[in-house]
Amino acid sequence: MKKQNQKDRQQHDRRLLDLQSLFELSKTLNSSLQQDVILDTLLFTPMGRMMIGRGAVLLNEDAKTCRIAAAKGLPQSVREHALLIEERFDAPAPMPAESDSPGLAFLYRHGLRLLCPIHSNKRQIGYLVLGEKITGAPFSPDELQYLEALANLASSSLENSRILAELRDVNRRLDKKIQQLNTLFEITRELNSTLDRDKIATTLSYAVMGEMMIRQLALAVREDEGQGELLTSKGFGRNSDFSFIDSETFWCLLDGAPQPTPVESLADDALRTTLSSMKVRLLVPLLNQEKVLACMIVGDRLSGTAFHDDDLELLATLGNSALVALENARLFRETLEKQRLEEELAIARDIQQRLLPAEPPDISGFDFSGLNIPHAQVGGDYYDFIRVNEKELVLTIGDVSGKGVPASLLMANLQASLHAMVHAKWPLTETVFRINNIIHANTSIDKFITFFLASLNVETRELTYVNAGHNPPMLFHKDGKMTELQEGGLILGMMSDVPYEQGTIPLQNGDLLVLFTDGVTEATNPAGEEFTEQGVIDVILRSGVSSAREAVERLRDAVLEFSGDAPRTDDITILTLLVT
Amino acid sequence: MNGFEVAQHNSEDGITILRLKGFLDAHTAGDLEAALQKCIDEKKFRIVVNFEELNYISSAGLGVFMGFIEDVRENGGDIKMTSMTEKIFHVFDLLGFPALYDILKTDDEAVERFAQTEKE
Repeated sequence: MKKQNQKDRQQHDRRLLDLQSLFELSKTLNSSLQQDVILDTLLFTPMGRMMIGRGAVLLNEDAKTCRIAAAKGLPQSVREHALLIEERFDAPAPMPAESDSPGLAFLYRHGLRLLCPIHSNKRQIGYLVLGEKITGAPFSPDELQYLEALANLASSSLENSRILAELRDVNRRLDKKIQQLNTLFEITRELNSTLDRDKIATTLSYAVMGEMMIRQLALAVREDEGQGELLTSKGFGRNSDFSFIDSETFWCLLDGAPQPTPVESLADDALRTTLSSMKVRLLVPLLNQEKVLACMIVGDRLSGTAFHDDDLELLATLGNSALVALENARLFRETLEKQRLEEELAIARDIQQRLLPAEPPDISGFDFSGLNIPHAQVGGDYYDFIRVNEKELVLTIGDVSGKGVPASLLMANLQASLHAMVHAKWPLTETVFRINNIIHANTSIDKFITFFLASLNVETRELTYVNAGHNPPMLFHKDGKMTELQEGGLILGMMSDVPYEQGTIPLQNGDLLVLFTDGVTEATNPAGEEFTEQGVIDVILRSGVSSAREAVERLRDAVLEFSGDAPRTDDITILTLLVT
Repeated sequence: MNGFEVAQHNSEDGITILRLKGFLDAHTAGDLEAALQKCIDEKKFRIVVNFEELNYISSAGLGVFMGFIEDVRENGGDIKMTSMTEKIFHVFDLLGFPALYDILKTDDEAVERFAQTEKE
């Protein structure tokens, strides 16, 4: 009886100890959310209590596959080992020596003999597996009950720690996304604040390299005719050869597949070899309006990890925002350049207007007037009155072939030559001869000037002139008759050393001399018809003008009215002289 | 505009210490780039970067380190990082830098680490 009591008492004490240990265990488990601590507690508690030499905790990856999450008394190499377990266990059970499940066979081989399933909400989340007791004694029913209780206590802690780990993982991914967004935000702000192409390229490079731990990065922009320009290269060796960006093949290849392309999948053997040897891993074409305008040349990641889809997406997004900035910078530069050119042209126009006479000369017995309407900012028409001395006035009109700036340069050259020569007291033919040689020497064969030069003797009222291929000026007489002034020679600039003839004509009271450029006679109406010489004659004869200025204005109005809405394509210059 | 400063300090054992201060982002990355380029040009490949007074770093700032690490390591040197605040370390950690860069608590530890590699 006493013996029985003692035995009961011993059993009570042991149960009490079991309960105490479970209580302590539950405190430990509940106070920790770290999986490692929970697993260690779960293993060390029974191992110490029952003197077991080895044990492991398996956690389910899916219904049948488990991973060894913790192992004691076993080689550490078994950790993280994946095991396939087909069977289901509802309560602690001995490890079968023979099993179709490779997982159970593996555990048996490692000396593990007892299998305690861990359940949470009726779902199996893992196993506590243990080796034999060092004493070799079998597990008693009490001990099995204890282990079952232990496994159940641990389950909710394990579940909590798993959820926490997942939450941490989600948080980390979220943080990473936030970091990416920050990068995107920062780079966009930075890119929008600069028009410096180098700065744009550098900003892009460093943001991308930092974000993805990329060692090398270069940015090439496409130029005309298959050429490329390397804007930046970071981390590539100094001797790296980027000449491949200067090939039509390279850019056409990107046109054909305008998305991030791994180098190893490039079809072009030569290009693939070149890029691989430079450790380039990825080409990221950057597009604007579906046209490949630039390419990011992306090297290795320091971590060696592959580029995932979301990496490629981020690369393309960052790259394209840089491309927009580059495009803005280009447009801005072009606008600036255009503005500068326009300003220059305005100055040139001002200069050219000063080369033309500001006022007609005031000489009694004669009435002069002149007008020049340039078609563009600057033009190639020229007219002038030059008072040589008391009795001589030189008047001239000329038209340089072509238009715009080139024509205006030649016009200025003509003006300067003439002004230098008129005071030399040479005969007109000599002056024209020399000017022709200057113009010929200064121009290519397709540039020439039609030129009319006349000298008026204000005392004798005699007009001497040389016509070098210019539209013949018309001298209208009081009686309605008209004389064309044709004497002269070849247009200026065609050949050197060409002789010129001169004509002389006395002027009568009431004579009206009208000089003009082909902008007058070749002005077209909307139907495409030209104003013609006859048009000039009709206007002058019909109007019966009383002043030189009136003649100019009548002719100008007639031409402009004739042209109507038709686009004007040439300068208009008119010069008149009325003998009073 | 938030400022950024790099102070260079050459220690006796041929190690260059760069102290970063302020905001390191795309805007100021160029300053760090210049400082590191100067080290390379002067053939100083053993570099310690101290982050103690750095208030902010963006990916572009991290990118600068990427642009030089290859060159530095090929020349037998390294860039070791020290004294990061928790906030700064978080960014490095997120982008995976700790696996590939030595990130240490103090400059002394970094100098020590250089001495160790020297012995090996």
